[in-house]
Amino acid sequence: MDDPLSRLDAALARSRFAWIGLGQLALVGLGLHLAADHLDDQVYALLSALVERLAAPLETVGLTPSSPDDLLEPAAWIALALELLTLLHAFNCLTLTPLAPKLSPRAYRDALSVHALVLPLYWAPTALAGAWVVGMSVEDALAPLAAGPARWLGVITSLLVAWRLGLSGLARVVGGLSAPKSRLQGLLWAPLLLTFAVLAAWYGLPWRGVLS
Amino acid sequence: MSRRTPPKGIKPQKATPARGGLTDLFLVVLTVFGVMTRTPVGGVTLWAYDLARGVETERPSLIATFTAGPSARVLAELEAIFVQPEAMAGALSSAQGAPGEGFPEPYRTAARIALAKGDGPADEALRAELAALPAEERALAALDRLYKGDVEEALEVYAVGAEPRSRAIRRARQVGTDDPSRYAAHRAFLPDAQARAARAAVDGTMGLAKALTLTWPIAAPHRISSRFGYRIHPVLKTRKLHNGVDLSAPIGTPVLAAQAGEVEKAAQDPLNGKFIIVNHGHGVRSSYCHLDALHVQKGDAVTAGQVIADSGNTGRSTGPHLHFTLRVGRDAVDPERFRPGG
Repeated sequence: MDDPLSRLDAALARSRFAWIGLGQLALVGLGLHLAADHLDDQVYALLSALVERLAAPLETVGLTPSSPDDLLEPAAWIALALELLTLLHAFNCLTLTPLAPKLSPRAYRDALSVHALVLPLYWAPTALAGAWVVGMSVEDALAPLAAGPARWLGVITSLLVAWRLGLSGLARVVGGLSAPKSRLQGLLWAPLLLTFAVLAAWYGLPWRGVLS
Repeated sequence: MSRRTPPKGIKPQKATPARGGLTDLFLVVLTVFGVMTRTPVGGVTLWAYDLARGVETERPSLIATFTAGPSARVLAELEAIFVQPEAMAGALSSAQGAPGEGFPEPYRTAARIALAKGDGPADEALRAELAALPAEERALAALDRLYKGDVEEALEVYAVGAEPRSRAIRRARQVGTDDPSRYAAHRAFLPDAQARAARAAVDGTMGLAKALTLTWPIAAPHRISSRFGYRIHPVLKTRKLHNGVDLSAPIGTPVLAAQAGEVEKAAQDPLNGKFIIVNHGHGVRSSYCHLDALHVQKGDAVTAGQVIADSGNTGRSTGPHLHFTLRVGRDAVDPERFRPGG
């Protein structure tokens, strides 16, 4: 315990409260962006369906409807706006909670609301998707040197990040829930958060290849 | 200062040391680096940092990190088509002209597969139902825009998604592979499960497409003396899978390459006599046995319909004929199912 490395390790561990939140937020940010990158496709599909439906009425009043290509950029901007909004929500959740609050079923029951139900459902898949992105980045960086070990290192990194940053972040935001003013608290956020959760779970994790 | 000793038999308890700080910090740095390089927030943060240092850099586009993938609707339409082969088979048989005409790839291929599998046939109700669906045209337009007619790319993205494909291409580029965006060039860099899915979609579809556009190896009138399937071997008198068809033809009849490809083997052995194996790509191979004269050699590129040999009666054979085998993937398939007009 006396060697310099152990002392540094301990010092960093004691100062964890100062910087671990950044990693927890960054992890959710990565998962959110991955989901947002698919959300823009969904928004594009919605916009193009809308334009298709409105094409005839627009032409009758002398307006030229947008071509499908013109809708790609607005769709990306909308997805970006929603991503930033959701990231702010995550930031808010993290900063309002202590570093390691006590988790107990009773405390959770007392804090039960729409927000309390949706929060873990949204946090877990986005953090997992973020962890997978980090792991795959590690694999990509090391693959030219040794493809086989790089694959395993990537998976191990994903698991480590999911455990050390994802799980601790989840425990932090859920454990930090306080008694709501109303059980319906968080109802407005729920559709947005759950949309990101579903996209992160479906596109952010390697289900497609595994399932097929 | 005297040290207190615990009572006899009880070990002193040490305070649990704080640990894992280095690991956690390393993971945080990795994650923050990911955010900086992959998300709009990171791009803008780096740009602001450069500005603060007085370094003039171009402001990054906030939406630059959004990749334009096939829209969910296009994928849903593709999926609907791929999982309903009988519907495509119906569309195919209601189209004008020869089977497959009027439907661009990859739909034509999907339809042909449906026919080859025997999943058809379309009844009138099915045709009417399909005619009422405008999905194909919309999906095609979107695919044309996204993939510029690269069917392999469309099939691969359909099977594994755009992100794993991009990663495989990136890695193929890192090791200096030629033209890494080609499926054949980067498929080795796909993770195992995704490689299997891509192989099923790309090699499966394209391979069957090749098989379904065969040239029959003998153009002259001939009869089929033995079909594909289990039979009593004429020489060995045992029940054995006949892995091809025997086309009865006089010695010297021109033998045509069934598809474009590369001659993988042009050789002779006691069983097959003089024989040729042509690799058509995507796991499709054809072989031609008991030949009299070979007109190509190993490594030659051949075109569909090119004369590659004269038929004969060499090897273990009971009379002049061509033994023609077609393999799709690992399996020998019945060539007659893919016979043009057959």
